[in-house]
Amino acid sequence: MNEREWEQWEGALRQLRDEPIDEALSAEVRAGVLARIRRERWQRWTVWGAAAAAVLVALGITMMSRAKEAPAVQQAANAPANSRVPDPPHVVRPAQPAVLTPVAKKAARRPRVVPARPRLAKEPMKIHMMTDDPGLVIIWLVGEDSEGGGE
Amino acid sequence: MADPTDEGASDPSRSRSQSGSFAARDNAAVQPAAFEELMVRYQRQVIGTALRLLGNRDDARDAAQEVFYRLYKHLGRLDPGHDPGRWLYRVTVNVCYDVRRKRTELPLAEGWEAGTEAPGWDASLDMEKRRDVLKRALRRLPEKERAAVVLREVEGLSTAEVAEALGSSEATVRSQVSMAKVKLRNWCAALLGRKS
Repeated sequence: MNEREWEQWEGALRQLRDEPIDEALSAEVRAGVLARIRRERWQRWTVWGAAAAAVLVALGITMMSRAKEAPAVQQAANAPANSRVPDPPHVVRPAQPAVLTPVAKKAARRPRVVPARPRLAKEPMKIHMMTDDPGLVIIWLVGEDSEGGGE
Repeated sequence: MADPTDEGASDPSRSRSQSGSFAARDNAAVQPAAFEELMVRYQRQVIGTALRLLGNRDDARDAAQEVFYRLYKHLGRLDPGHDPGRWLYRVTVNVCYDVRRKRTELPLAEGWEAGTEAPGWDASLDMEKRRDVLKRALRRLPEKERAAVVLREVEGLSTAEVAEALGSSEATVRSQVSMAKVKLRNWCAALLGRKS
């Protein structure tokens, strides 16, 4: 093949570029790409939607549980004094502040129970009574089963 | 329909059409319908190159779809000052390589082997027949040489642009194109029953 003949072949090679593309193939490519894009968008929206729904559900559950807790606490705080159960013996109640701001917190607080000191039943109580005379002290012994007496 | 990629590299009207494609590109990032317009602009380039690199319709369709999908995904990251056409050439070549590797064996040019003479074909072959012979001969080239000769001779890119698309040096591209043309010439001469 001489140079002139090869040039004709090279011309044919360059003309390959001008060959029309099958329109059906082009349409097939475009449709496939657009379908893939739409599918991917739909999947993305589905994922985001599911995530948003999960957040809303979690939020709703939290709100509902708080709403259930609040009335119970409120009821305990607003209950009338005479309806309360009588205090157990030897219970020391803390001094109530003048202003009760957060009702729920104060009401939820449980009274502090101070354990009762064991008392010696047989040991009498001694009461020292001072007189004008510093050398004279009256000691009053008070027992549980007696009315007491002076010394 | 106007196709900016049909214009030559030295065509001054190319920049004008490019600015139009940028507007379409910005819009296409939001609207799939606008992206279809962008695909129409570059379909000849992408599908044509894929057809010549892969040699069959189904593979070319798969490759072109993958190329356009990658374009869609990368629209926001592409430099707005540059024509996506060059980027598309690079992606097309890479995707075609991937598609080819997935095929265990590609059929060679059916019904024609080098050294066998096609009856009744001679130097006066018309252009259509020559193109048919060349398409078959292209499929016989090694993939890198085929990519180089397709981009340089068929698509009309400069050596530097081909080197950028293939990720190699200009010297390599020149060598690959030269080797490919020698092989094509020998095969065509063999087809005609002549010595090159």
